[in-house]
Amino acid sequence: MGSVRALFVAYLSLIGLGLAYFALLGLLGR
Amino acid sequence: MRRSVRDNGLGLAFGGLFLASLIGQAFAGLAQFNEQQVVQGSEPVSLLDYLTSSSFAVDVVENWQSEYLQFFFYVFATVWLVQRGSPESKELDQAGTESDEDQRVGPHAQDDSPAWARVGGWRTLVFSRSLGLVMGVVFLLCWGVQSIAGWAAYNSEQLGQHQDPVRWTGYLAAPDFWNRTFQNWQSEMLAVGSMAVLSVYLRQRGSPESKPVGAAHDDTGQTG
Repeated sequence: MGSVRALFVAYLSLIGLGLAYFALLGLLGR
Repeated sequence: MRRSVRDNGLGLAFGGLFLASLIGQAFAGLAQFNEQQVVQGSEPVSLLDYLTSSSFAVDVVENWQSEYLQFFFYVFATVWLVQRGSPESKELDQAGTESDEDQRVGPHAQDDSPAWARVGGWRTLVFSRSLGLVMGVVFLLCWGVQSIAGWAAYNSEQLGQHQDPVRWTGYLAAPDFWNRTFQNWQSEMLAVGSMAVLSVYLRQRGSPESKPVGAAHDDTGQTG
């Protein structure tokens, strides 16, 4: 189950980091 | 094949397809953005400039929000609504949140049940809805980020056309925001409805999204 849990964390991290990055681009007004 | 790869085939394959599609979007989006720049008499931008632009951000995240809205709706709707004959539906008499026994929570938890299913109280309450809740929260975050990135992209277009920029609250009432929103929502709702209804009469041998090939059209809630 270790690799399954790692994939779960990877998906949530991808969503979170992606959203933070896109929010930053918007807030910087680029 | 290594066991960890085989065990995670679905998650890895779709993660890879996501990245490949995002790369495709980056190049196609850059080409379209630069076409627009030329029309406006502005200089073309580099790939790095485009990938760090609000224009790229809003184009990505407007699609994200609708996907998570779709799953949020689907996860909650399938608790209460049924579709006769669909493998996507529960059996017709099981609409609702079902009994603690059926759901193996609290005293009905098994040895291998997650701790939060066993413990009761607010933790079991939250864990019992965690899939829909996370989909809903991610949807709201994505939609919020769409509004911010869309606002920035809209204003830079306005400036390029020598028009006044708008406030964020003004952008929330702008046709651009709602056109981006609804054009993504409509496609998701059609796709989800199609899956629920077409799977009544159509089959995909071996897929858990389908009924067994020989299952009756009237059979509801069967997967195989």
